[in-house]
Amino acid sequence: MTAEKDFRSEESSNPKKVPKRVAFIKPRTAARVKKEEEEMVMTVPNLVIREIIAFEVMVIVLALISLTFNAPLEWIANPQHTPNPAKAPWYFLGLQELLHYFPPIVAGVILPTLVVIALIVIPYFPINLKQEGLWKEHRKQTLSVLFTVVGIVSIILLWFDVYAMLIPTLIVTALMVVPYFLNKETGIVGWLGSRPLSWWIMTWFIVIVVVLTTIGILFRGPEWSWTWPWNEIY
Amino acid sequence: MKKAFEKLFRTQVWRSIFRHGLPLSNRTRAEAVFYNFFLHVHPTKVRKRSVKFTYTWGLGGLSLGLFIVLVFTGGLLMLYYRPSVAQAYWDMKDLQFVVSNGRFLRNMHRWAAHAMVAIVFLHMMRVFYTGSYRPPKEFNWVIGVFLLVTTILLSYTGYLLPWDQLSFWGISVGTNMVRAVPFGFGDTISYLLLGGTMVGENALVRFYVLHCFIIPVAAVVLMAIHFWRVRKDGGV
Amino acid sequence: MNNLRKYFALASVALLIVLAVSPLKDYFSEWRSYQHQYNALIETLPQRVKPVPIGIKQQWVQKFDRVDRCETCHLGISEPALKNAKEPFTTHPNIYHDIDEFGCTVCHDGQGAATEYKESIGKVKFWESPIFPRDFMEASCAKCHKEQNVPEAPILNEGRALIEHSNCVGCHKIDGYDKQWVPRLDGIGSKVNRTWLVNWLKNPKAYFPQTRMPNFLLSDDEANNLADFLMTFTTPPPTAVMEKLPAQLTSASSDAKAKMIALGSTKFSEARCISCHMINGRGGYVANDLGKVASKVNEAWLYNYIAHPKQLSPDVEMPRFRFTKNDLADVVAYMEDQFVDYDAPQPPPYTPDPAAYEKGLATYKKYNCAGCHQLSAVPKAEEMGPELTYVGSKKVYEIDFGSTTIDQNLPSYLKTKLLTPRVFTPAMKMPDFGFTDEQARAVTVALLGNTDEKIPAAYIVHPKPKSTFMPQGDFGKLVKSLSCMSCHVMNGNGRLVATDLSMEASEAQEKWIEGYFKVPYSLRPILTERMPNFFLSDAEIKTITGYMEKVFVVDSIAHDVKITPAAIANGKGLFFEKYGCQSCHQVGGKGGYVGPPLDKLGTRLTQGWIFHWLKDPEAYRPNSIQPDYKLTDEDAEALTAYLMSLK
Repeated sequence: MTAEKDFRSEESSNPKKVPKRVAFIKPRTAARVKKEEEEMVMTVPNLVIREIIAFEVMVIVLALISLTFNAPLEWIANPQHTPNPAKAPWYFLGLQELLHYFPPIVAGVILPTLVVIALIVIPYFPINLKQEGLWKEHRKQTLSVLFTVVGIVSIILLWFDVYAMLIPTLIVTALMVVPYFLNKETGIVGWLGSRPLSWWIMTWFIVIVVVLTTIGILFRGPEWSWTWPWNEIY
Repeated sequence: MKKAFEKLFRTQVWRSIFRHGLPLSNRTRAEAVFYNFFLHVHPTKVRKRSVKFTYTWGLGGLSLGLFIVLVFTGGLLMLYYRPSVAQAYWDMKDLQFVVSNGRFLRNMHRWAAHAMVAIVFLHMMRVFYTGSYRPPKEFNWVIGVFLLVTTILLSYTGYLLPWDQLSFWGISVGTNMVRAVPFGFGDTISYLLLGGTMVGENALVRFYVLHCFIIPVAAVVLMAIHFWRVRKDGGV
Repeated sequence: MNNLRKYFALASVALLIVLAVSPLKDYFSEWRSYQHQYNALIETLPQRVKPVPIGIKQQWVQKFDRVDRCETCHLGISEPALKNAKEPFTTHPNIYHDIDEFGCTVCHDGQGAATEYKESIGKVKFWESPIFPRDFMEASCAKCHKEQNVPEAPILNEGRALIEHSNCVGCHKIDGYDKQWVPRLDGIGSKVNRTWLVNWLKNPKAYFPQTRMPNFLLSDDEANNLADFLMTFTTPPPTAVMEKLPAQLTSASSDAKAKMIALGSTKFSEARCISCHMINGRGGYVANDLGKVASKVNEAWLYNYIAHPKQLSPDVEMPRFRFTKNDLADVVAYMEDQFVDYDAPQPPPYTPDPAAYEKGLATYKKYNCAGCHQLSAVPKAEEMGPELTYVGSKKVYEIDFGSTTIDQNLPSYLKTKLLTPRVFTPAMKMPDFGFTDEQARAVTVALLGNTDEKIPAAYIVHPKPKSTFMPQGDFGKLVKSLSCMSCHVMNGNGRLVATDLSMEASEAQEKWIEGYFKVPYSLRPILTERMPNFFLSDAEIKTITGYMEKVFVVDSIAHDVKITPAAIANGKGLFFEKYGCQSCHQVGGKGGYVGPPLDKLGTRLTQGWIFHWLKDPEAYRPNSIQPDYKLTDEDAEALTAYLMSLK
């Protein structure tokens, strides 16, 4: 890898091993291309058989689940009687949980739209392509920005009483700043320190999604009130 | 045994269908991949590392596998299901009680659908954490996000079809969220989706068509692009 | 590589095995095993019964929009040879309807589409109408049978009668039931005494076990305040004319009083008050118990009430007896002396509450007293209970069972609610009607039949339109004042305690009717409900007979019978020998008590009536126990001649 040039060239003359091609490699290209030649195996049977086994195992697991658990079929639809609580399918329960805290326009429209847009644009922002740890440079500045952002988010969440999001946010933030204070290169702290910003944001998002969805599935009863799952799952 | 196979593989009928011999040599193995419609998305050779299960956890492949299971079971269920308020629920009951393996088919379809939503999401997580969205695969990531949305929509539109309390109110809750879209678009979108102001006969037909035709076709097209891109970008 | 192949083989075999499970489950299904059992069972029977081909049997009941697959396992329901077989193969008992036309679930509920036992009886979580408990089976009749008396459904009929009697429509809207008469509360403050009222409010059945008034389970404070509130209404209805008590009642010496009481006692029994009223539980069931009435109402009210019942209590059924002033005073003196409640319960502790009126009014509204009672201060019913017209279609998931542990289904909910009305949530206001278990079941059955199920119009049996016949003119006024229709039916209208008067003038001779009103006697001495003596004037009696001879006549009943000694002798023979009529009827002091005595029949009935009655009793009195001997005209005429000779 040469730092002076923006690309480098490479040539291989063995067409059976590597299809002939010219590759211009920039520093930010996917890691794969930068690697040296690897050991290759034939797709048939190595990959195909594995794929078939995976498929078969999946069907077996599905079939066993289907033989054990019946798909739910409740009473016939009755527009006159709203069940309490009326729940959407499980993958929307995170959203429905948000609806409990925020006005519908925020929870039902703005947030999901933002999430989809945010997911789409991930690969187009250089900051998401960076692989350096969060604390590698500008440590002080990063910390103050982080605290400001988390502070604003926390105030909004407090304002709407969204402890279900506030607590995971604070926990993730705490994990983020641990490497700042414990400057270690190895172990869990070292590993945390090497995580880039995009990793942290995604992890925060996933934790929030999982927490909200779990609460929606297991901990919500009549009137969307808090219910323990061992009492009754609605 | 082996000889019999070799003989079979040499017959003209066999050769007209499969243009390669018994995949025993590297040459015939390579031919088996690129002479086969279903396998030709694969390269003839893959890196040993990527064959390992824990490299991708096979989540993308499993998503496809679930989609195949869903298309198969869904197609069979369509033979018995009529999307009308008067009949939908009773067709479910018939599937449960009188159609051979009807209950098994429906269970498979239902659980596979739920599993697919979860697995596609996990696949997205895996792709993110391994950094596989980085150039040149950024657009494939975008397609992947669309596929996740498509998967959720597929599952959601299918949720209404049994026409029980669960589906009716699940869909009502969801479409009520849509109504929150500002500037009067919310009501328009929800009207468009339901074919009316509340979940009823029209909504059932619309969701049925979306579930069985429009969204699956969109999903297949997106998947085709997705896999083609994976291959072009050097994946399996 | 070799390992991989092994896994591949293993996974493939496992896949095939797993995929085979569902078809196998289908093949070894419950219903198939029942059908094999059935085919094995019929081999053992002495009669030849056709074996069934294996397969699901379903019945599409198009008119009721149902698919019933019950006969997949219930294979013997139409096969009399399997009468003694065990379920599910036994024959269906008494089928009132064609199974092929009606299917099973129309009456039995449950899940007709199911082919598994547990699912078919519907006792699974997500089935809203599980199979009907046998105890409540008659409710299904009510889905189509809206008529007053449903044949073969005594429990349903009793339930409907109880709903009407208990005046459930006071609080609940239920189609098909009439509101019952309940006393107006205007003037209650000048009618009853407060102690009685509090005790009554706390537990009405302690004073009068047969009362319609339910127990509202009031607290002591609620009862006290409500009583205080009610006692403020001292002005009687505007129709009332309150006379002062006559002097002999207020200021008589004890000797004079004793004499009055003795005279009053005679008048009381002459008037046959106990034909309608009970005295401490014994007597007629038409009206209230008088046994403790002197401890309830004050003397002045009692005096004025007997004098003009309908003025003090509009629309009450009590007839106006034509007592003279002296007789009336005697009767009141007798009642005041005799009908005292010596063991009235101790009223609850009472300290007057300055806000009693407001609190009492609130209680009055809370328990919807205005739903049944009228009181000018509280004009209309405010808080109604839920409508019950379609209560039988209430879904299990719409019911709040509270913390009870009863069966989670509608019948047990309704029955429990009727027996212990406040058990589900304390906020419920429904009173306790004191139903017995049997009564609660009957009411539940009648309620369960109120469904919103769509029944094709052709299957619904409508109630007969109620007659609104009401005589007019002078006779009409008499009928009102004497409340004749509380016991007699006229042209289809009225309550049938005594006889149907619609054909009276064709039945009885005018002279006899006249005499009867002068001194009414009961034709059947064993009955309790005997015609009271209203002490009518001659002019009034003339009005009655005059009207009857014009209106209550059926021309077809006239029949001329030649009464010759030969015919009489012939008839006598038939009476005593051929038909043995004396086993039920008395003639000349001999004979049975089942039917009325026939002495002097010749002065009572008309020839035509006797003749037609003997020929076909059911045509005139459908519930009569008089046997139909299918007499020839000659025999009937001979018997008529003999009976007419009894003078």
